[in-house]
Amino acid sequence: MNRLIILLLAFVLCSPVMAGLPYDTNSDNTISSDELGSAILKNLETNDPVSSDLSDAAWIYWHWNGTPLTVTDTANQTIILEKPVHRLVAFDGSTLETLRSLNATDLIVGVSKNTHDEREFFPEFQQTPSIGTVWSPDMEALIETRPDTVFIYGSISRDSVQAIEEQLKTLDPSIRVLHFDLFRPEIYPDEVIKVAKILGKEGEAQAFMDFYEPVMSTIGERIASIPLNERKTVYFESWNAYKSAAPGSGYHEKVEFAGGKNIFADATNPYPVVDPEAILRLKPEIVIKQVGAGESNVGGYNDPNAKQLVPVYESLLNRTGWNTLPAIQNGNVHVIHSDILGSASHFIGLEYLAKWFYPDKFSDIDPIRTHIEYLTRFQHLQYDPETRGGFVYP
Amino acid sequence: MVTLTADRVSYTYREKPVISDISLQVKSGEFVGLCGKNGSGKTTLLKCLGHILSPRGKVLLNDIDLISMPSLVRAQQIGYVPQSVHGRIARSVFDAVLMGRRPYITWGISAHDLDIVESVMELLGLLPFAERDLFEISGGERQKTLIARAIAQEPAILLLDEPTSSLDLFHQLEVMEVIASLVADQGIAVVMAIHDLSLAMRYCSRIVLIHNNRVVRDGPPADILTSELIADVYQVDAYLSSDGGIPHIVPIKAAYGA
Amino acid sequence: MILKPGVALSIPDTSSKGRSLTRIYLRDKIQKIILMGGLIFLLLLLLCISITVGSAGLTPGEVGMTFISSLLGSQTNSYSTAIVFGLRLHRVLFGACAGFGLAICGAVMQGILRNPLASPFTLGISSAAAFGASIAIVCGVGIGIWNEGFIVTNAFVFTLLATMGIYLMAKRRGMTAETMVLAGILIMYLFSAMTSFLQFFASAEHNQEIVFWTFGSLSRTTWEKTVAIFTILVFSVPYLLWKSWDINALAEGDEIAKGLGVAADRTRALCMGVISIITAGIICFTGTIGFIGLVAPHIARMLIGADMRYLIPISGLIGAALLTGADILSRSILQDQIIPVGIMTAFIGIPFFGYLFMRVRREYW
Repeated sequence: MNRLIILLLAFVLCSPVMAGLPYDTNSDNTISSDELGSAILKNLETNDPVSSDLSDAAWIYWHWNGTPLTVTDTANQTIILEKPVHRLVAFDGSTLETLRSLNATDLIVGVSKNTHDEREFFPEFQQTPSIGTVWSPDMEALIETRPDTVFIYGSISRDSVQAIEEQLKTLDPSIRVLHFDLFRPEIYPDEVIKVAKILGKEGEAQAFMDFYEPVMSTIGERIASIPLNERKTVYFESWNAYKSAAPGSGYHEKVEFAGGKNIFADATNPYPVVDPEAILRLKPEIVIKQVGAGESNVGGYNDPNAKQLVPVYESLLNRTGWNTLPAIQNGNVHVIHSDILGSASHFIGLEYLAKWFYPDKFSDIDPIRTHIEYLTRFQHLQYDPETRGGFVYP
Repeated sequence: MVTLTADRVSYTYREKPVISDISLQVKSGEFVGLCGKNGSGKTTLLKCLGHILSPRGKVLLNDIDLISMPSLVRAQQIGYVPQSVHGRIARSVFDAVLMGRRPYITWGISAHDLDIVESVMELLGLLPFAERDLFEISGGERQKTLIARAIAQEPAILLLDEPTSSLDLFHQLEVMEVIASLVADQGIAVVMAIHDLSLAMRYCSRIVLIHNNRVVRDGPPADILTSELIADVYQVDAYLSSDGGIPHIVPIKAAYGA
Repeated sequence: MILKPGVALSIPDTSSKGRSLTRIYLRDKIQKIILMGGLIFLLLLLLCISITVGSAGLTPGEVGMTFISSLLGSQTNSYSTAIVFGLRLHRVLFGACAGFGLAICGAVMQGILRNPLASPFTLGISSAAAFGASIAIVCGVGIGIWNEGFIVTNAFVFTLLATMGIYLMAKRRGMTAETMVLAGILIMYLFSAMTSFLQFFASAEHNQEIVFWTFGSLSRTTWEKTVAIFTILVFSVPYLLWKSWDINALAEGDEIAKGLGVAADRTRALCMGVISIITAGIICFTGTIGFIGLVAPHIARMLIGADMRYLIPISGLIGAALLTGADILSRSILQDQIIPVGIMTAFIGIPFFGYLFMRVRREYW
């Protein structure tokens, strides 16, 4: 009983501090220059160290114009942020990658378990606590990192995401949960800009967009100029044998964005397991095989040499009857790793696809240069994809 | 001349002795009735004699231990008829009797096999039921089918466990007559566990009385089936009688605490 | 030293009464042989249909031409050759062998265990195989390229481990039918629990693989696997047929069987061993294909009764036909996609079995 009274008192006493913008003395939901100015002056007079509330108030005034930030995230939820982000947990590697491009990695206090497996790509996060994965979260570890914000998937694994959100609400309702995919090309620019606004990294975002958008628009414009009936037919296979992609899946959209005509565009489910005979019947001109997980967990940044992709390539050539496919006969079979096709680095993979589909239209594009520039300028990684790693073959 | 010898045969089940130290000999031409109270070990003794169970002690067929005899050869010599069928199965009477030829069949059924089956079935009046399912017919006919099967094995020794218990009056006599004639004409040896003391008295040439896991008496029926022994073993007051030359036992009352 | 049947029984010769039983016996035999012939014809028909089904866009005529020209040794269209001989033929033949094998295992199992619910999976075989495959999937996959050999070997090994476990348990407690059934249930639950435990810690991808494996599929067949399973059947089926008299006897009871000269315990153990090898040899390649081993013997029994000499081959033919029919369905329902065959076997078998079950009047068990 006593404990309850103390808790209630604490809650009541803290609430003026918790609720609302800091130093919003007239409670009009805006930190005006007057309110901020008087707060700063008072602090200078008392010679106290700058409180976190004061620095927050200054930050909000500077980046958000003194008002709380309203964000509609990728799950179509509207969140109102009244404090900046200081301690951020990222459930996904693509999020981490994007934050690196925005120079915001000092905010990270918790990463996913998979990040610890990517020693080459995320060397600086190997000591950051792991909070599990979306499908198997470690809620205690998450709470232990004392985050104020969590970034999580917006459009996939809805059930797992919802379960995590509900648990967070009961454990600590002050933690803000924002949904961003950060691996889908069609919304990536929007998401990057939203995240940049949240984190106050508008300048970095602009620099990155100046790099990213020309890459994507070049592909988009040149593909648009190719009439539909001249587009090349493509068979896309994911990590597991005969598992393809169809409308509803990201891979299908990427293939079509790069100008390919997916031979299984009529399939009823997004990830159909296809009949090998159908491939022989449809005679694709190009075959793209993705590796990096499942049955073909080879290649990527952790792979010291590109040789791991070769057996995958050769097994494709040896499939029964594939010698009748135009793709084999014309040497248009390619193996590509999901690290550059499925994550925030998708633009690199798309350059490869476009170049393979229409070499004459994209002869001036060099995906390796793009990759190197990305790693150096934005990912701050000492890694040379020309000599290391297995990303594409041949 | 075939001799089945049991030499100090004992069998324990779950640490309780069922039969202890039983020695007896059965020769061709003998019709032995195995009598005793319920649970006295008759069924177990029969199973030990037929090597259905493996007892302590020895069971010999003409000086050859049953353990060392190949099971098919043994089945050609000894036929065993249980009280009832264990598992319910869809099988015609004909097929059931045909199974008795198994000890002789290597791959296919020969005409000789079919002859034997037909003769045996005729002997026991089973021909009208040949195509009927084993479980469609009455219990009595089923019993006769089991007996027919054992006879089809052409054995030298026939072991039967209470074959008349589920038969009506007519079939009881029919079965006992068939078996008695087989003993008389063919000279086989028969060991039959039997409850009906009157039938035992009438048909058996020898009675073995089992009491308290052991053989208490072994001899001609007249010597064994006396009022005193019946009272002793069965705790029943009874007297012997003879009508028209046919002996039978008349129970008067169950005497407790005797 | 073999005892000559000295003064054995000699039955009076009643051959003058006419061979009425012989007539019945022969007529019965001919009926069953005709049924077998009919089933073989049905199976061949289904096989022919099966080989013309597929997404490759070949007409039945083209398929036939491919066969003919390869027989004549003339130049063939490499596309249709690749489809027919490279993809379809071994799948179709493997399916027939697998259906045959699973069905005869079920028939023998039901006989020696005296249990109508027995199937090749009663001894926990499918649970053990699934566990072996799950271990291989979780450990093997994720290290380099998919190692199918590991999965196959592991599934096979664990099946034999389960059988060995049951044998040892039964040896201690008595090799009776009841003991084996109980030991089998124990093994089944043990391996099921262990598989679930493994799945709890596995990633979403691994779990999907495991579940897919348990559906049962003919999509990973090759010529080598087809030859392997055919070889197993060639050696084991004659053995089981040779034992059919003994199994007939066992079906009535151990005591009756012993009285007829059957070594009951040893026969049961040997048959279980052979069944395990056949079943393991099939499902390590296909995953668990259920229903056929349970239902094909029942259908056969409804047609011809419980004589193992005919029940074994007829169950086998029915099983082969069922699996081939299920495979035809699994490749024709969805355009360009293949549904795992283990899912279709129930859809095919249930209506068929249900119809017979409702209509057959005499007791067939």
